[in-house]
Amino acid sequence: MEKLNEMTIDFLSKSQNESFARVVVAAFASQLDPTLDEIADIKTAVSEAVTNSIIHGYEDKVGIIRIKAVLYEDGIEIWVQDWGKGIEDVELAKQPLWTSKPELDRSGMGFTIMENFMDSLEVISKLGEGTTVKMYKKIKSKKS
Amino acid sequence: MHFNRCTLLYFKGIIGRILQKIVEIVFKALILPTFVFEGGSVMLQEGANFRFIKDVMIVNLKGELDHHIADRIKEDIDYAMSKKNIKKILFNFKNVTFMDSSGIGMLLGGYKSIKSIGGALGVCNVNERIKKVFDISGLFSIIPCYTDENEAVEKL
Repeated sequence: MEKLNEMTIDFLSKSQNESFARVVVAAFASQLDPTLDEIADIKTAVSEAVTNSIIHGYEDKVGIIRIKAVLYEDGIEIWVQDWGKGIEDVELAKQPLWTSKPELDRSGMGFTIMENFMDSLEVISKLGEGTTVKMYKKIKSKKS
Repeated sequence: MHFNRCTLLYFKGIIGRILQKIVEIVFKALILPTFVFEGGSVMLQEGANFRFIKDVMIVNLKGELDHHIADRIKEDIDYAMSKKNIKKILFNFKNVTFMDSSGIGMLLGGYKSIKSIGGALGVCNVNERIKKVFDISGLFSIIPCYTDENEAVEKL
């Protein structure tokens, strides 16, 4: 399918950038004229992925998080990448309520929310190298 | 003294109490978020406003509830609980514009803490969009959701 637009942004894995990441992807996605609900879903999914990179990928260190977004005619593809710890067992990590950090008040719902709010979710990870989360959201555009 | 992104002002003596009263009035007039202890100190918060109605501590959340904000609110709640014997906490979501699973985690953590001392925790004024995140987590099966503060204070 034809790529309409693309952007890539790098930022430090600081928690104050979670809000920034949500806004930046939402602003870019607005070019597809999404509904408020679709934007809210995208923001929440991005927030989950970025938070995962900060808390789990980099833990107490600070690293780079890269967000890439590609606009297609029928939706937006979002990549969230970090060069952090990596996930040992992706299927276990994706299990609802499972968290490797219960002591930090994590609910273990990050991946479940991404799966529910987006139309597809792919997780590519290698221990010691990092994690890439790839998600797609179909936008039922008003103009068709 | 507890300094974070909140500030504790503590004034001693009679002059201190007068000064404290003035500070309280000024802050309330400016509608700055405040938290008033009985011990005579005022704490300023961002992202949340703490009040007491009867024996319930009401946390008025404001704006976005993500990991960054949830961490700070949890610190403030822990601090409040260390200063005051709080058995009931109500989170008012009326002014919350966004929440992700960090909000769920914060509530779960709060629930575990307060349950361990025989207390209760609830939420109120949750809008449709925020409710979607609650529903996925199944949190309402253990934390009650009330329509408004009055119902919550009555039933908690």
